[in-house]
Amino acid sequence: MTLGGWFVMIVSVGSVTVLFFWCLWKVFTTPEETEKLHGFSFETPDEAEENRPAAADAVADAGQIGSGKLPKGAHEPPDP
Amino acid sequence: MAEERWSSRLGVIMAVAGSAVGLGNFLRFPGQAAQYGGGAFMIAYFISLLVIGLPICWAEWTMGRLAGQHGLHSSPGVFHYFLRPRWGKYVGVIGVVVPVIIYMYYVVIESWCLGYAVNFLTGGLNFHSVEAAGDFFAAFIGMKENGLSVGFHLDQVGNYLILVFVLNFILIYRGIAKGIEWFCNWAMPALLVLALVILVRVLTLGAPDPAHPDYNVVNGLGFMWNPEKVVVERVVEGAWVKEREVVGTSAIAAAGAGVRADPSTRLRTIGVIEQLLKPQLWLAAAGQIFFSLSVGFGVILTYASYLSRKDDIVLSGLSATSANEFCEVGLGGLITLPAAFAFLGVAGVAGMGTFALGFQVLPLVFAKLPLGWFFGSVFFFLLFLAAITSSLSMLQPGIAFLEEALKIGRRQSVAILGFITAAGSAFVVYFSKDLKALDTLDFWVGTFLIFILATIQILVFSWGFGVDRGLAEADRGAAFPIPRFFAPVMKFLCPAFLITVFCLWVLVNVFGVTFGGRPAEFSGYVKDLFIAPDPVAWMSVGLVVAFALFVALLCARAPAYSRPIPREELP
Repeated sequence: MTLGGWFVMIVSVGSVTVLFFWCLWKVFTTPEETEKLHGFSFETPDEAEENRPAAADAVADAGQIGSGKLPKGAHEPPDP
Repeated sequence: MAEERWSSRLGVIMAVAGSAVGLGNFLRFPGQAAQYGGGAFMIAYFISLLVIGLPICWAEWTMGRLAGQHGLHSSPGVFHYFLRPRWGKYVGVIGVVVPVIIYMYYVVIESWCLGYAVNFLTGGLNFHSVEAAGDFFAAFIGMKENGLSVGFHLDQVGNYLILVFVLNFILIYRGIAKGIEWFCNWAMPALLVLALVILVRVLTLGAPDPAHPDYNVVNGLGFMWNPEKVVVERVVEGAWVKEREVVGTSAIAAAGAGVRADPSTRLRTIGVIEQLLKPQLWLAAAGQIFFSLSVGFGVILTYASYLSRKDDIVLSGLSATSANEFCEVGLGGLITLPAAFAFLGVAGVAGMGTFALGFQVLPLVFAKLPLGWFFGSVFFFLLFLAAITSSLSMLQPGIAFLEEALKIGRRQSVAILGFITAAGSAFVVYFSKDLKALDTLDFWVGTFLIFILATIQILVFSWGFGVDRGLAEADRGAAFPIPRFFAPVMKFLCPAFLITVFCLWVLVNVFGVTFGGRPAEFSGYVKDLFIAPDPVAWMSVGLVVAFALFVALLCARAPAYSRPIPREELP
């Protein structure tokens, strides 16, 4: 392995490691961040709607995805 | 809401990491780095990460969230919202095609992981030679003949594929949040710890084959990270043609002695600039960034569309990216490629398929660990779980699209998508010879189409919507704003980079245009279609086109995408 190879490796691995731990630190130190951070693994509104007990369906509004209406609990109207 | 169930901050960041980390990190990345020569690929890879990966990731989160505020949750819906003319929705077809087609072969690789986990437990993977490991893998996936893998023994893919496929659809049908919560809290940290253990073992492997002392880990690291290459070239019909690459001081000295004895050969150092002049390398590096970050997939567009403006998409995107890169470069790359070099040497490493490297090399590493059968089984099982979280996320864009386009419920959408993806996965697993179907789909969809969609997205975000408005929109709810030096990157550098790479790739690899007097160089994937047509490659592309037409037809008939966007809702 050449000197250039060692340099590229240390800078690359070091930078992604520092970035990862910086993100960890940021999440741990920012108030209320846990409620605002998301990956792809949360329960989507269509899934929640499908899994909701029938009784809840009877009293809930019939929001339909794709109709332009907002799915229940997912959004608030955009700021004007 | 899901976040209420995740009680700790660690749980939240593991959830983000868990959804980001998958097979792309531990299996696809080392294969791509090996295929494109290691060092130069890594330089192109990091430039791509900074110039296109992160900016488009943020752009995609922002576009998805904004369109979601207006009840649109699929890629055609998002592009209908941003582009508005009637054809806008057709641009979004790519954002449905990409995740669904990738899912078709991704579950096949998932089933390989599960199969390896089981075969480690039964003692079927205790290899002591490269040949034995290669033979098992070739037989397991049916690499020698089409249809050979479709069997139901423990050492064939059939059982595992059915199990994995059914499991995926049960999870998506019954709700994934609980299972993924468990994975993120327990299996994800376990995978990271185990990967660190394996990394230590790989870095202390030394030279496992005494007959080839230059096949060692340090040279393996050199293959991956050295910016310059040393190659032996031979005169063929009056031109110097690369014969082989040499890595390591002793190998270079031996090659030098051989060259002095044979005047028809020479030793040449290829500088980094010369290596970086290959458009195929840039396309592959950008494609890997997109693949592993799930950028240009349509997945981020869909998931972001469910978020509110209070949510932090800046740190969400950055956390997912950083976790991904840590696993990919810091763990996946340092484990598989150096180990592959130590066992196979430079010639063996370069000749593997994109996803195949890890399956042939890692069993050899585990064979050199105490309780290797146990660690091997656990590692591949955890990898299988990590892959499941990724494959489930690939289904959501298709589900959201069918819900929107056909006005049907989630379970009906899941059933339709299940039928389509089952047919596609059966195609991939049957046409297993030389992994032609899988490799063809992975290139044309997992690299090429992703590249196209990512380019369109950044153009729509930066030029259509406006980069300043876009960044202001992204900053809503964020713990910190996106640094403003990303504004010119997103507006000028990123689109220019993508368009240049694409045009050069088409010129060199499709039309065979040459620069600097070098011989014409067509991409192997182009050769398979036009120069030496391969029926499986053509059928693979046909599968993609047929599905794209199906999606386009649904788009044309969907009222959700014909509805004019009210003036007050315009972006």
